[in-house]
Amino acid sequence: MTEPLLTVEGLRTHFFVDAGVVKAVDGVSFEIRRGEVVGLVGESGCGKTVTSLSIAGLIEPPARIVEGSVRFDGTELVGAPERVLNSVRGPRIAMIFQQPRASLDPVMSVGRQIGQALKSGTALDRSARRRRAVELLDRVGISDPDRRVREYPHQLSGGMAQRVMIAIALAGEPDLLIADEPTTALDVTVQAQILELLQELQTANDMAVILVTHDLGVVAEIADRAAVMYAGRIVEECSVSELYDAPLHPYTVGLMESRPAASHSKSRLRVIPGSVPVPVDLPVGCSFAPRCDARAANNLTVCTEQAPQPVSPRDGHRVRCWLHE
Amino acid sequence: MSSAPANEPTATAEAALLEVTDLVKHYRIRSGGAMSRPGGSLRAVDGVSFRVGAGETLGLVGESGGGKTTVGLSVLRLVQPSGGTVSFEGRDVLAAGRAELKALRRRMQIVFQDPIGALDPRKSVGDSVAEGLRIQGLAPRAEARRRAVEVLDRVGLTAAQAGSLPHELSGGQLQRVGIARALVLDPRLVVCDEPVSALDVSIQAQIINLLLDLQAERGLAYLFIAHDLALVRHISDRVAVMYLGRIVESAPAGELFDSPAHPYTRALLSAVPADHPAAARQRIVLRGEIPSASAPPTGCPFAPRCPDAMARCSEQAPEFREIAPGRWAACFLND
Repeated sequence: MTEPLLTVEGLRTHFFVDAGVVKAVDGVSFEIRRGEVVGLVGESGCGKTVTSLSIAGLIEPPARIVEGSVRFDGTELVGAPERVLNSVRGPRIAMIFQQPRASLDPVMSVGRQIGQALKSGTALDRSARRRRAVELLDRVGISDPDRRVREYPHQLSGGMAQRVMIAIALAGEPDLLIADEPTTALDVTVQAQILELLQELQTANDMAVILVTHDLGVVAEIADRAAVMYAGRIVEECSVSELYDAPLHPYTVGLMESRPAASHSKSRLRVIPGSVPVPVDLPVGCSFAPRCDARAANNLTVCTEQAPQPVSPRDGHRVRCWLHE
Repeated sequence: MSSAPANEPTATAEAALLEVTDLVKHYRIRSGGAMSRPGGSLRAVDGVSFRVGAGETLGLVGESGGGKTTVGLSVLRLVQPSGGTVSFEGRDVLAAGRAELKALRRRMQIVFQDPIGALDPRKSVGDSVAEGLRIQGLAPRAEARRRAVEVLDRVGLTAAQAGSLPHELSGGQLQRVGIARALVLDPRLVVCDEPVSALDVSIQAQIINLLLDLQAERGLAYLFIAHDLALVRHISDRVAVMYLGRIVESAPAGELFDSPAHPYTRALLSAVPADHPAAARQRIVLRGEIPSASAPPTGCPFAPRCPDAMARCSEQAPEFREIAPGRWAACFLND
């Protein structure tokens, strides 16, 4: 097996605020290989976005990476000088966000924004950048790119703005694209268009993708593997087919079963009781223990005393749960 | 639970709880912006008819900009429709005077996507729930507060939480407050406008169960507006699909999802992400996005994006008619 493109090990990113230390990411490890699509799944506050920002080197005070390593294609990014980060961030690791219009500069034309990305990521001159910007718009499925390249973000619909973001992300031909809820703000029909585009570009460029999402359907649609996060940790990591057919962690099982598609019409849905804990005062032991039916059913006391370590009951399937120790 | 009557204006089986006929809401466009024609109007709702029976849930789906929310607001007359009729329990909502409208709104309530926007940030949520009773003159202060705590308890909030300010509660708890506010007046119909779309998956399921339980207990009817099709299928008896201000198809939920009759419904359903990675599907990817309601196409509004469009579709608008018992669609393909 070849060396992974990205290796994250023991990553801890904490926020130092008046109320205390928010352990948004608290010991995350995973790998991604070239050309692989990994879904980073979880509910709000689970740490999925902070994980992806940590990988992209976009953590700012009051947050800080307090421990761990992010190795990208042989280069350590945690603690790396700005010069190294700048050569990686943008050209080789690109990122797109949920609110494309908020991420675009409102007073700069689409063409200039793509041009800027090309300037830092390639050696093209001004007129070549202009031509490449039009090509990229065409590549992401924007009709009439010669005209659109002169337009401003407010003239674009949500779907078109996300295509422009993708064009900017592609400018440096990145090896890794981090897509943070890229279709959450879009209608389902436009979502289907954007997912189709991402999948096509991913295959054509052999690009790795970290897809950050709360939507299990989107994961089923385009991811190869899934990592489920809860309270700052990855609690389960497996292939997408195992996620659907044989999930092991009680939290994952609960998430899968609470989907409306998993039960008969008009019947009560299976629920996970309670809500996600605030990561300031996390419970001792497993963070999910207070909400866990399986713990109660199996009468396990260890769950509230000691945090479980990741184990691998099946090949390529890791889980943090005392039930599977 | 009562049997669901047919959902269309021409069906006469039994008097519907809510009957909406040819509802129209146009907004006049003032500015001469690049997108508008001078003196133009935005046809947010352009001739919509449907019925909701007692204890029934009608799901209203479609892309944003289709007019779903405007329909919901028009039913309660929170916006003033430009035309058509809204009849609730046999009374004309649009012609009602002030006092009658106030009385009608006791019987029909609304739950919004963003409950915090509807709550006074300086008032305890218990007081906000009690407020409806006081405005309606249904209970003196102490009695109103007691009933508010009771209703909050029913939706899963403690008496201590009733004393909380909105910012002290989570999104899921706030939506429970939103539901309690609607419930405290003991309505027959609740318009739910994207009630769970801002919530996390595990909390969504809790709120959906609450809505289902309340319906079973009290025989509530819901007009359930949402863009999440799996959720709408789960909760609805009937579903109506809106496109550019019109209903293009309506049918019992199971039939609509299993055998959609309108090409827009088919495209919409095929765009929903698979519910299993192995369920590779034949996707109808719609090109482009929903056009502006200020310049709707002539003929069938969906024709410019329709994979099955014929020559006549861009000339003539198909009639919304019953194509099979209980199933309605506006498409020439069903002729």
